[in-house]
Amino acid sequence: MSTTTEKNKTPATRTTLEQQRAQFAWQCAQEGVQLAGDEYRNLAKAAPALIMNNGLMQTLAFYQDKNKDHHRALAAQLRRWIMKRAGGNGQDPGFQPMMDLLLRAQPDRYRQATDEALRILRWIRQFAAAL
Amino acid sequence: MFQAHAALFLYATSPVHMGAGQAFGLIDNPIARERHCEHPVFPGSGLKGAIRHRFHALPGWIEGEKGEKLLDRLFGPESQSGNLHAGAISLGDAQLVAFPVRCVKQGYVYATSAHALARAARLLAQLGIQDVPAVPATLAANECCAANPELLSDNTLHLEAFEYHNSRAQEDKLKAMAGWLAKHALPAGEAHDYFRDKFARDLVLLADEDFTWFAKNATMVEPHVRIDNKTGAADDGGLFYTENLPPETLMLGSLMASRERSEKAELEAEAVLQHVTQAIDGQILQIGGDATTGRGLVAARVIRGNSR
Repeated sequence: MSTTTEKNKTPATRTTLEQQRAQFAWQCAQEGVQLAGDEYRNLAKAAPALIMNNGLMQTLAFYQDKNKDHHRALAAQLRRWIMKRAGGNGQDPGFQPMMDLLLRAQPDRYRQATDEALRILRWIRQFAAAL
Repeated sequence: MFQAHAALFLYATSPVHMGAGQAFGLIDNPIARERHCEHPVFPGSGLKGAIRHRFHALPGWIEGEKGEKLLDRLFGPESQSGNLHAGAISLGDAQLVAFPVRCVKQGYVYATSAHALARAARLLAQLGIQDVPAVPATLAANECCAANPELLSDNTLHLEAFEYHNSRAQEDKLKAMAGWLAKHALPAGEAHDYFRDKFARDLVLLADEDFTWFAKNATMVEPHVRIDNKTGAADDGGLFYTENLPPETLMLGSLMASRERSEKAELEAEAVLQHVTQAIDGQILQIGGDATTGRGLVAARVIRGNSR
């Protein structure tokens, strides 16, 4: 994974990182709830515990295996955000490239990816519940 | 202010839920944490209430007004009572000393960091406990110090999904600290022999940020549902997630006593501390929430500055 720049990539006004997370999560929650309603809400609600108890890679692999609409949506959102924070362009890299990157990542980079996934989920699960 | 002090070590023998209330966060019912370092904490108020409650279960406890009067003198009266005075015993927040982490070898290790040990040493010094060994120096991220070679493969320690490179520079200090804590902090008695030995052997030093990561992300998170009375299956909408501090966590708090502050004022600080020490030292206390589902059991150990 390439290095994270703390430079602000959103245009116009400078927003804090936490505001950027909230913006991204707001869009994710709307997409997900529109697509799969309660199934998406419960998946987002359960996601932090899944990651904390089993790890990020296992969680992404589990979503890939289940492969229903809500699993696909949330997994793609997590991948997009992790890549965005690692200096990417915010596109979903897809399941295999993401796993390849995580498998090769140094422990501190893997930990950062896990932290970012948890930080974005903190917002997504609240927004999804509120929508 | 306070004339008598003691350290209070608390070793979790079950999951512990000292809650932080409902939270806007990852987990619906998180545990209480310190704001600046995000280590779990047992707030002093929760400990004080649990210890006050414990007095009722002591052998020789006098039911009724006489017993409650003594509790008022030690812990302070209810806020609505006519004669307001402060209690004579003070319970400090308990801070994190060591945290259990899953390990590829030997099952699990007791993880700690220079920061956690330095805070423990500072508190012990404040409480007049003098024979505490020197604190090991801070490690770089991704480094560890594991004194037990059985924990390592190719000089690498595997904790959960992470690898740490072992460096031996702090080994002597770590061993001394592990030995001291095993002897003074962990519960005494034969039932705890295995854990004391393991602690002395398998206390592992991590970098502060690596240790904090586990203290934040390696707690026990459990889903809870409501059961539908009719169907016997999970009910809709009752799903929530609760966080617990894992068993085998070691925390350190403080007991401080002053002379009794009620009108009676006959108990000296030393007597106040004796009363409380007798009630909890070497005992299993129940603290925090979910007592009826086996949560919150901690083994208490009181250490005095002159106890050797």
